Formats: sequence, C-alpha cells, structure tokens
Amino acid sequence: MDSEHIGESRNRVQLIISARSSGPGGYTSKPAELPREETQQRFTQALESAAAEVFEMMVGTPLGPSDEVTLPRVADYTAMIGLAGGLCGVLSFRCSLASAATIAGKMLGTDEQTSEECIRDALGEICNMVAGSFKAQLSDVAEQCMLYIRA
Amino acid sequence: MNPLRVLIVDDSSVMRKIVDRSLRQAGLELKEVFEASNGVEALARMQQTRVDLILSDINMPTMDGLELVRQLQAVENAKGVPIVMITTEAGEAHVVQALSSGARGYIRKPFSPDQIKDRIIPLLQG
Repeated sequence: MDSEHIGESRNRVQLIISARSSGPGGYTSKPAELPREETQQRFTQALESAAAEVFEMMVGTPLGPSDEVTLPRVADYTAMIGLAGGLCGVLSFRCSLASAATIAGKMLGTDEQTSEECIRDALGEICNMVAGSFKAQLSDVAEQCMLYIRA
Repeated sequence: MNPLRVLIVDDSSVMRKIVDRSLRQAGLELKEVFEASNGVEALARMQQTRVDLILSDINMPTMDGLELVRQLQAVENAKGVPIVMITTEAGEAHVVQALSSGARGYIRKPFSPDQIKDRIIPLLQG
C-alpha cells in the first residue's frame, strides 16, 4: 500500500494477512468452511479498510493500494501479531527504515528523529490496531478470535 | 471542569503519548499525567496517588487491564475513579467483561480525540 502524504516522498508499507477462518460459528462444534474466493475477498477488503482506518486516525495520513505487489522488496522492519480462535493466522506489517521513522514521528506528533525503541513500539501498535480492526470487521467468523500480545 | 490528574496504562510508550495528546486535543486540561506500562505498575502508582481518571489498555504483560480493574476495587485511592479501557479488543464479549469487571467506559483503538471526548467527559461530569 502507498501512503502518498507522509513526508515528501511516497512511503510504502506492506501488510500481509495469512489466516484461516473456520466460518460462522467455526469455534463451536461444527466448523463450516467459507468458499476460498469469498474468504480471500472478505479478508482483503477487511485488511484494506482496517489499515486505512488506522493510518488515517493514528498516523494522520491516507493509505491507498500500491501498484506493485512486492513492496518493499527488502523490509527493514517487520511487525507481526498472531490471531487465534475462530480466525487464526498471522498479520505482518513491513516497511523500510525511512517509512518506519516517518510513521513513528507522525504518531508521536514530532518532526524530530525518533529512537529505535519508539519506532519498533509504533510499528507494533500499528500492527496491533490493524489486526484488531480487521478482526472487528469479520465479527461473524472472528467472534472468538484472540490477539496474541505482540513480542 | 478542574484540571485533571490522569493515569495512563499501556505497555506501549508511543500509545501512552498518543492518549495524552488526544486528551489535550479533546479539550481536557491536564494537571498531572502518570504513566504505567502494566497493571502491576498501575496498582503501585494508585497505592500512592489519587487521580481523577484512569485509562487502561487490556492486553499487557505481567498484569492485564481486566485484572487491574478488578484489583483496583480494593484500592482506597481508586474508589469512585472512572476507569476507561482503551484497546483493540472491541468484541462484545470483551466489552461486557471489561464493564462487569468495573470499567466505566470502553474506547476502541484506533480512536480520534472526538471519541475520547464523547466517552470521557460524561463520566467526569457524572
């Protein structure tokens, strides 16, 4: 995804969801698999919407889809959070050092250089909030879903 | 409304700063802001300090926000102090669990200063 208004240049971040849904009521006794395409479409929409919401509200910048699939090619930072329950899997967030520093600075409301610790903390929170929002949008399949505390 | 003394509990220092800033952007005047990175630190702080408002995350290491709310019931300085959970865990079950533990409000991350204002000011006025 591209964030066009962070700093002076385009900043690219990548969000990847790798998850399996056992369908509505899936955490109970009879899991019902959703059709694969339907699941993928719902996951993609939910992830895009969740990421856009988090970036707009907490980073103060719009986020749009990127025209390239594998951005950034080499990520300097990767944050990950696990989901367990009716929806289980991993959400990862990747970006370059420059994008990470810009995001952390925006979140903290400062133009000054942010510490390594703050950058890692900020990206972890981004990942955490995107996962929470993603999960909330899939409440029918994720009702019993839990987020692991990020490491 | 008098300037507030607030305790912000979150394992993320970035999030604590964002909550602090959002409270100010929401128009609340803050006299003193205390920070804690988990429930144990928050409990220790509340043994020594009286505040007007506690804002706490749920998912934290060492002691989570729900356990903190339960244990605060026995802390003299916390009696009558509104506790608001600020968390990514916004499912109905989590909200019910938090409110039944003793929290007075619930704000989902991500949030805007307006949402903070809408949820917190009525609690402080009530």
